[in-house]
Amino acid sequence: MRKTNYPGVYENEQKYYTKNLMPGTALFGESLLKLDTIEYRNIDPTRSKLAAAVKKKIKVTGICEGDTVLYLGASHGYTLSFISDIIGQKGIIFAVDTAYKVFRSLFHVSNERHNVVPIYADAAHPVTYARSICAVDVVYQDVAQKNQVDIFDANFSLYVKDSGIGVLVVKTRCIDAAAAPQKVADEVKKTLRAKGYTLIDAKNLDPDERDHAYIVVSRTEQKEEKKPSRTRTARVEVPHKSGQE
Amino acid sequence: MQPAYYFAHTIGHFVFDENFAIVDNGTEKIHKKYANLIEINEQNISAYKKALLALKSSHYHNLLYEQNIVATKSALRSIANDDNFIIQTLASIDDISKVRDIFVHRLGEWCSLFNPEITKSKELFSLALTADAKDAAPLNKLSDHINQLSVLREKQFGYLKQVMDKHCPNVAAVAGYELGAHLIELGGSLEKLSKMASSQIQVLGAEKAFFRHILHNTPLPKHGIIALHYAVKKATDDKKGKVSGIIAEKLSIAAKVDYFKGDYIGDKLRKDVETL
Repeated sequence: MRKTNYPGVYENEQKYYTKNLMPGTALFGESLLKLDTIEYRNIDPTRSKLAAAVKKKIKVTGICEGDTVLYLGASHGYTLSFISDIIGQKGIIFAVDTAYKVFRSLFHVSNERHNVVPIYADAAHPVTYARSICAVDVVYQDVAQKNQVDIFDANFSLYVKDSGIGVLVVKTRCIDAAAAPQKVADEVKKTLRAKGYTLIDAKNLDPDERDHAYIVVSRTEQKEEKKPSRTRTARVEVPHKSGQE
Repeated sequence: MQPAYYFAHTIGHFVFDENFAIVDNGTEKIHKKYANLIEINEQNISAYKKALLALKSSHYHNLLYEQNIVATKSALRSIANDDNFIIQTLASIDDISKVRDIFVHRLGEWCSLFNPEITKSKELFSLALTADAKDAAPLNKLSDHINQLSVLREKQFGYLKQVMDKHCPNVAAVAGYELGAHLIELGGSLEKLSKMASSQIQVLGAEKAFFRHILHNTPLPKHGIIALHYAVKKATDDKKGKVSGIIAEKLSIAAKVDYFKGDYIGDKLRKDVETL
């Protein structure tokens, strides 16, 4: 088992793992691997865009241990459960979804994992859950809406602290089913830059997740730009010492 | 340390000073004490942001988790409402009908082995009795099962009537119970149905034809699920479009009256439809 450059993500025989926060439980039928006393959970790149981005060697995943995360479009909670592993007991993750059918299984996940807070609300209206959560370090968005960039911007502007990170998983087919996926992704990047975001890295997720792009951005206030402080991005870019555990 | 802002949050009520440091917190009882402070709400987004930033501390993680679990539980429970009861009951009735039809078909095939001339399902039961006792026993069991399904369907339909008489009596009066329930299912809920224009109610259930009309300029569908209404069925082909338009209009009135808990005007609306 090797540490990767990404906090909390491990690699073994070209498969990716996280440390299981709840040893002995696998809520999604994923395989568990026990080495010494530590139990690891296998994350499947065809089911999780986070793992697909790791496989594509993105610069940063955007998520570190102890982070406060706002997850929009949590669905059944597959990727969510791995982010919950990465942030650990010190972190907290707010899982927002509005579809009743998937929320039932999401609620089950949050009952099992005490760092997952369920928010039954529509991510398109961030103010409706403002009195239920606190400010966050990271916004991770994976929603199937045409106006996903606007939703991302609204949530980022309201909830993310200065020098926070935003992860936008673009579903290009939702924005324009007819246009070429790469073109749509480029358009999204352009829109984000126009809204004042700094692009850290972006990868398209072929072939594991077709027609999806994983975009990591940050936004620092104008006045802070003069003296580049020790921002989160700078910290993350320093590769961890990799070696055999 | 002069208190300046007041913020009501799920995990408690907080009082901030001008630099958004927490001065005091407690339950809603403290509101009286700080009634003259500026309350943080949706109008002042920058203050909102700072207040949420002040709450970003591992100290509140447990509270955030517990309060939201409670809130979510009650939100998920509120999904058990009359609209969803109607939708589920209707789906159950449809399921029973489908299963019963499969069994009836099988019974017919089976019976025709004993007597090839008889094909009508009416005569099946008596035939099964007259067949050889040993071979007829499974047939009899199947036919009993079919009868039980019919009884179950009647019971479910009775419940549907009961719910709809309470929840949407006017829609039920104009459309009948089955069509009314179908409309609520297609619309999503009575609330959504009441906010629809009558022209939208008219083409509910014909979405495919409707969007084909928009994209490829094919003829506009005259009616959707409303085609099941007896007045539309009765109308001649050249009148079907107009009749379904009128019924959709009455349904739209009925849905609005039902949603806003108006008086029962179903008899009047039905009369309008019947005199078409």
